This record gives sequence, C-alpha cells and structure tokens, in this order.
Amino acid sequence: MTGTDRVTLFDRPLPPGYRVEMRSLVESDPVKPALRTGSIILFQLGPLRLALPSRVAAAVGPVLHIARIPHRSGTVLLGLVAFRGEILPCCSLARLLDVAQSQSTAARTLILEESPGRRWAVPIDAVLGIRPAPDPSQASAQVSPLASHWLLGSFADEAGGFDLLDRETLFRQVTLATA
Amino acid sequence: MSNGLEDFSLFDLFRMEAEEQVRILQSQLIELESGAASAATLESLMRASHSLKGAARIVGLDAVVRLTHAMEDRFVAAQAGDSLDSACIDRMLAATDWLAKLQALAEPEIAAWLDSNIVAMDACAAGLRGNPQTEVPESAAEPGVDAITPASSTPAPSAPAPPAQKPPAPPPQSKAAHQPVAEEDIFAHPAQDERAGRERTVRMTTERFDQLLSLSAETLVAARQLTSQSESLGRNLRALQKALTLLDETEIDAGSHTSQQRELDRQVTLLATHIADLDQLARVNELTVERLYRSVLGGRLRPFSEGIPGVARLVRDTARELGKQVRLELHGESTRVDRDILDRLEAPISHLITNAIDHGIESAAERAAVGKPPEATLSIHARHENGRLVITVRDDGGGIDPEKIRERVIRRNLAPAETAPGLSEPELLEFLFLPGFSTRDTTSVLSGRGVGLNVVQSMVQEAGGSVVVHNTRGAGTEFRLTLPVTRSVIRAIRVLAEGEMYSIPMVRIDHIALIEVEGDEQHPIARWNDRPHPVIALASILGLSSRPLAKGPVPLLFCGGFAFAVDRLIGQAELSVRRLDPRLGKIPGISAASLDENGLPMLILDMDDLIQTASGASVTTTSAAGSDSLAPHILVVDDSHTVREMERRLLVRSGYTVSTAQNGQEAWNLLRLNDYDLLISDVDMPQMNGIELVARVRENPRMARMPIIILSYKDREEDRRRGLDAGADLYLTKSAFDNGSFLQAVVDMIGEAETTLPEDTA
Repeated sequence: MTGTDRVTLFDRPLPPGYRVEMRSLVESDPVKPALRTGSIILFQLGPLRLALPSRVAAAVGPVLHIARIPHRSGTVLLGLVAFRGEILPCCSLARLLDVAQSQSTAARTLILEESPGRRWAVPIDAVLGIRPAPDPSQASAQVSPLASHWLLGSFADEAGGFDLLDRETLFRQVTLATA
Repeated sequence: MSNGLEDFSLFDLFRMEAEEQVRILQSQLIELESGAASAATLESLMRASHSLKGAARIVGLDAVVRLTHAMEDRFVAAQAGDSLDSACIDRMLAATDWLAKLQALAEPEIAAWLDSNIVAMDACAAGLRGNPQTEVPESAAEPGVDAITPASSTPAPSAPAPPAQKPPAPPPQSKAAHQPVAEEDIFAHPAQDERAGRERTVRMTTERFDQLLSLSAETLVAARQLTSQSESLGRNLRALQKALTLLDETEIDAGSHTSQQRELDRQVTLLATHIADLDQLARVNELTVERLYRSVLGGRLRPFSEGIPGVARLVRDTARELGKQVRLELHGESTRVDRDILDRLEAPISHLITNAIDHGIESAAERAAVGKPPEATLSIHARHENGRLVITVRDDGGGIDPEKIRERVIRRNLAPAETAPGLSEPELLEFLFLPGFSTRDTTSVLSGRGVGLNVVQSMVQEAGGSVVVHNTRGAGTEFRLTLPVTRSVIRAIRVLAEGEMYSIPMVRIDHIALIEVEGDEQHPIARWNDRPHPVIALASILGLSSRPLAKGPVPLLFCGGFAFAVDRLIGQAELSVRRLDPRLGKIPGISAASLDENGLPMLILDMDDLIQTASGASVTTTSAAGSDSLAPHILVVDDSHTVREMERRLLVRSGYTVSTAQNGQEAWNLLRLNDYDLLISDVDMPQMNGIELVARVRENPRMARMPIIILSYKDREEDRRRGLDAGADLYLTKSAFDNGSFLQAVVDMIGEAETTLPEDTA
C-alpha cells in the first residue's frame, strides 16, 4: 500500500504505560552473567561428596602401597607412596576432615598439586566426575557436616549435594598436620 | 628429536670441550716429559690441541685459536721428528693453565680476562713457534698464571733438569701431518684409534640425568608388570582348557565334536601360542630394561682418575719449586666413584700432596744421608673396601714428629698443661686437623699456614667421609680418606619389620646372622666375635610395635655394637637414593627413601641415628647426684675427645649434670629425646657442624629458648658473627679459654648448680 495519508507503525500512539516501563528497564542494572571459571573435580570420601578445583587435581591413580613412616604415620600422615616414579607424602583427608572412612574402602588415589613440585597423595573412595565450577550465588542452603572454614560453599547437582573445599585452608591444614 | 645439548650455550659447550682436552694435554705433557710417551701420546696431544682450536674458533676466542694452533704445530713437528725440550713443555703447560682458567670463567668475564692476558698468550704462542724474544715480562700475565719464562730461567734449584725429549719414532703420517690442519673438518668423526683410546663421554645436566633414571626405573616397573600380566593370561588359559575338557566329558558324546567345539579348541591352541610368545617377549623385555636401568645407574659412576686430573702436574710443579725429586705412583685410577663425590676429591688430595712434598719429603741430600734413594715416592691409591671408597695418600718422607705437635699444643694452650704430656701419638695427630694448626714456624706460598689439613677434613666430612693419619717417624706418613662410593646409589639389604620393608646400607652392617638370642627379656643379647651385643628389635626402636622378640633363631644385623632384630631378611638390592621430602622434616631413624624394583616406596634407615637412640641412655654422664637430680643438665658437643672431657670434668666438678656428644648429629638426636638447660657446642664437627646444630635448635619450638654457648677455635670476627647470627647466646674461643671465665659464663646463663663436688669426683 502506498499513499501519503497512510499511517506507519511509528506514527501510532504509544500504548499506555510504555514510557514508564521502558525507563524502568533502562534504569535497572542488567543481570550479570554467572561468573563461572574453570571446573571442579567431584569425589566421594566416606559419606561425603566433595569437590576441589580440578586444576589442583594433578592425577587420579589406583590404590597405592603406602610405606609407613616410623614415629609419624598413623595420624593425618599415612606414609609415603610412589606415583609415576615420584615419592609423595600420602595423607588422610578423611582424618583431616574428621570423616569416617575405612582405609580398606579407598578405591582411588587423588594426587593433589598444591604448587609446582609440591604434591600430596590422598586416598578417596571414588571420582564422581568433572563439572563446571558452580556459581557461588547458587550455593544451596543444605547444612554440611563439615565445619564452615573448610568450605567455599555447598552446592547441588542432579545427583545430590556436594561441598566445595577451600584449597587454601586444605593445604595449610595438611601442611600443619604432617609437619 | 632432542639431543640434550639444548640445555647448554655455545660457550658451555666450549667449556666442556676445554675441560676434557686440557685434562688430556696436562696429563700427557707430563708423560711426555717423563720420557714414557709413545707415538700415540703425541697423536693424542696433537688431537687435543686441534679439537680445542676448533672449539675456540666456534666461540670466537681468537687468542686461544692462535695458542692452540701453535701447540698443534709443535706436536705435528714432533711427530715428524723435531724435539720437544723441557722449556717447550713448560710453555705448553702454562698454555694449559690459561685454558683451564678460561674455561672456569663465567661468560661475561671472558672479554676482560682476555684483554689482560692476550699479550702473554700471544707471546707464549710466539715462543712455541720459536720466537722467544717476543715473550712478555712477568707483570703482563695474570696473577696466578705463571709468566712464560725460557728454560734457562725455570726455577729448579736442585732438581735435575729433565732430559731433552727424544721424540719417539714418527708415527705413520696422519692426515693432520700432511695437510694444513686449520682446514680440517672439525666436526669430522674422530679416528678409530682415538675412539678406542679413551672413554668417550656425553654431557647432560644432572636434572636430565635424574629424569632419565626415574624414567628407566618406571620402565622397569612396567616391564615387570607385563611379565605378571603374561602369567595371569597363562592362568586364564589353563582354566579355559580345564573347562573345555569338562565340557567334552559331560555334554557331548566322544567322537561327535561339533564344528563350534573344534573352533574353540583351535582358538585355545592359538591363545596358548600367543601367551607363550608374549611370555618370552616380556621376559626378554624385562631383562633388557633391567640392564638399561643398571646402566643408567652406573652412569653416575666415573673413574677415580677423572677426579684428580691435575695431580701429576701438581706433583711435578711443587717438587720442582721446592727442589725435591718426587715420583708419583697412581693406583686404582679406574676405580668407579660417584660424580658427586669425585667433584669433591681434587681439593683435599691436592692439599695432601702439597703438604707431603713440602713437609714430609726430604731433599735428595737429606734422603741420601739417611740411606734413602734420592727420589721420593708419593703414592695415591684408590680402591673399594667393604663398599666404601678408600683413598690413601702416602709418602716415604721423614714422617711427622709428634713431639713437635705436643710442643705447639702446649704453646698455643690447646690442651691443659697437665693433660698435654699424657696425650698419645694418635691424639696428638688429631691436632693437625684443627684450624690454624701448623708445625711450621714460617709460612710459604705452599704450606705452613695450618689451613690445609683442616680444609681436607672439612671437605671429606662434607662428602660423608672421614680422614685418618698414620705416621711412621723416619719412614713417611699416610693419610687415609674413607668416603662413600656414591651418595646416590647404594647397596642395601632389605629387611621386614612389622610387615614393613626397610633398607639398611650394606656399608653399615658388620655382620648378619640367624641366631638364638640369650639373656632375659629385658636385656636380650647376641654373641658375635666373642662379644655380647645388646639386641634391639628394629620394629620397637622404629616405634612400630612393642612386641617381644620371637622365640628361636632370629635374623640379626650387627651394627655399631648392637644386634638389630628383624622379622625377615629379604635380600640385597642396589637402590637409587632419594632425598626425603623436606616437608616431613627429620624423621628419627630414617635417612632417605628409594623405590624398589616393583616401584614401591621404601625407607632407608639411618643407622647412626638408630645406634644413637639405642645407646642414648648410656651416653649421659651425670654428676654424683644421679640422673634424677635437679642439677642443671648441660649438653657438651665437641668432636675432640680431649676438649669434651675437659669441659665435662669442669662442669661435673661444679655440680652440673653433663651429657656429651661427638658431633652435631649426635647432639641433635639427644636434644630430641631429652631436655637440657644449656647447650655448649664446638663449630667444626663431622656430620653436622655447630652452626647447623644451633640453627636447628632455634627453629624447634621446644628448644628455641634454650641457652647456647659456642666454644670454638675459630676466633675471627666473622666466625663469631656467624655463630651469634645462627642463634648462639655467647661465643667463646678456645684460644682464650680459662676455667674461671668458662664456668662464669655457664653460671651467667643458667645459674649455679646447688652442689659442688670435690675435685676427684669427676
């Protein structure tokens, strides 16, 4: 259709309340996208589902033979293990976190890298998978059996809840407990 | 593909080349001068200077190119029949000194060094080409590198000048003799005879080598796992065959095999063949990988001669300078030694040689007067003895006069006047190792400053060894250095204690036996060598169990006066020693870790520590009040028995309880187990020195506040500062020692003991 008497879309009157609605939209802060950096490794330790940033997990291996250290083994420090030609101190995360875990149930060994060349071996029950790091704002309200200083937060995925450990606290406590 | 050389700069590569070629030049020039050289020696000298020239050209060291070119020309001429006289050999040795100095410099220092030495180097090259008038005065050469002087002015006071070198018969003319050598391809493969003549080497960094060692250990583990996989498959096959047999017997009538059954049988047969092949392959693979692993381990071991490349030169130059005639005898040059140990040998051996020639060996006239041949013999002998490297440096000189030492000890107040006359010869000889101790009244460039033997002892101790001196008045002196063959690979015996495997270095075990233990449960003993040895259960001393010893014969390891009982002896093994993770700190009774052939971790026991723990109760010497007295408890640490005993007596007489330790490590073991009110420590001690001990004490929360006195012969301000910086509260010197001020210092620190004992009680 042509003709100068025709009314275009933009010539129509504004719907009631349009300006107010538009202004309120422009004035409010946009919703920030969730800041998701990196990924986490999810693992089972006794009754707990725990997570750590996956960059901390250098490797996962089978159950390793632990050589007991005289006068020292028996608490958090379990002994020494050999992993890919390296001899590493092996410590019990279960004892550190005060979680019931029978030594015989450990099925895997998680190799944690605190910093380059500074590794620890930790027996765990199973690796549950790798996930994108959760959005801190989506922390679940569930109550963790772990003291809060160990955690960055508790979250939930399709299989249930899990606790994201604070790596700084974890390594500091491991060092203190094994020195 | 990496060849490993990317870790090095071009100059690093030149340095390596120079190090090797200078060693050849120096040793073979001495051989040439002694008249024992052959045509092969000249060929080798020519090749060495030629290789050096090529390497120097690559890194642009033109002065070195000129110098080595002149040397090469002389060797080529000598091959053709020209003579090489003593002056020429002197010049060439001086040239090797420059080269040795140059290869030891850091890359940024080279330009400046060349600037100050280029004139003298060019003059030396000119001298070698037969233009001695161009040689430069002494001041032009760098201090420490002798200026080049013509043969007539070479100082050789009474030593007969070596005869002019009669060159050996000219060798078959080599390519180098025919062509201008400067145009030769420096990257050409060495001649076959050169390859055969010496051990060729490949350089790599220690980190890379250790990586290789770890990888080969891992490969060995994988190879063994393959063998065990093959065995598992074999077991599966046998089970399968059994199942098939049962199937045949139960379900199908004989003679009516179906085609499926025949196919099953065929597959089982095939599987059996494959398993047999795999089994064979796995075993061959395992053997090969084991050989690889052992070869890599062996790569750390080098012949002893590589650790003392300059010794022949040192003997020649020192003897010449002192006007003495000395013949060097080297035995056991091919004895294998770990590179780490080898690197630490040259300095102490050089000190001993200089001392022997300067102090021990007489002049030709003095020797003749006592009926000895004018030429003295200095022998260096390296050998393996009970898993240790033993090096003896022996001379047939006049020996050491013990009375001269006694006189010095008294004059310097190193022992109380009443003790000194009673000191035995071995005790007196120990004073030779004190810093600053010398029997000489005057010092020379070579010796007499009392530094040498102290340095020898320190260096040997740092390498984990010890040094002992034997002296025969009028017949000579022998220094015996005992060192570990290696610090990275050890032979060890593996034992089982409370289900855990541990390794004990073979070198620490005196005897192994399976015998019945005597005595009661509280004081079990085992007899060996007609002597009772207290029996200690290894599991118990390691804190693994407190189970009593088993009845009947027990496997026992005799070590340091004790018999350590284990559950089972597993066998010997060669282990690559790994440092314990520093995060774990010092673990009592453990010195290091290793991996066994299956890749499992294993701890290596620290037998010194265990012996110390086992005998811990007996080392405490208390005052008459007894060990449970309230008298302040002092730990005295000194490696000198005399000093230790003197301090102990003084303190016990003043009412203190005193324990003693011979070195820092022993003291540390005691400190960990007991509480002390005061630590009094020497500085120079084997295993762990006093500074290290003080630092450790200060780092330990339990002991950090304990008062510490250092009592040392070292009296320089920097020594005092070092001691106080480490954490000592007071630094006393033995040279200024007197009973009164020593006791006052102790009282100031911890107060008086309540009871003072009569003089004779201590």
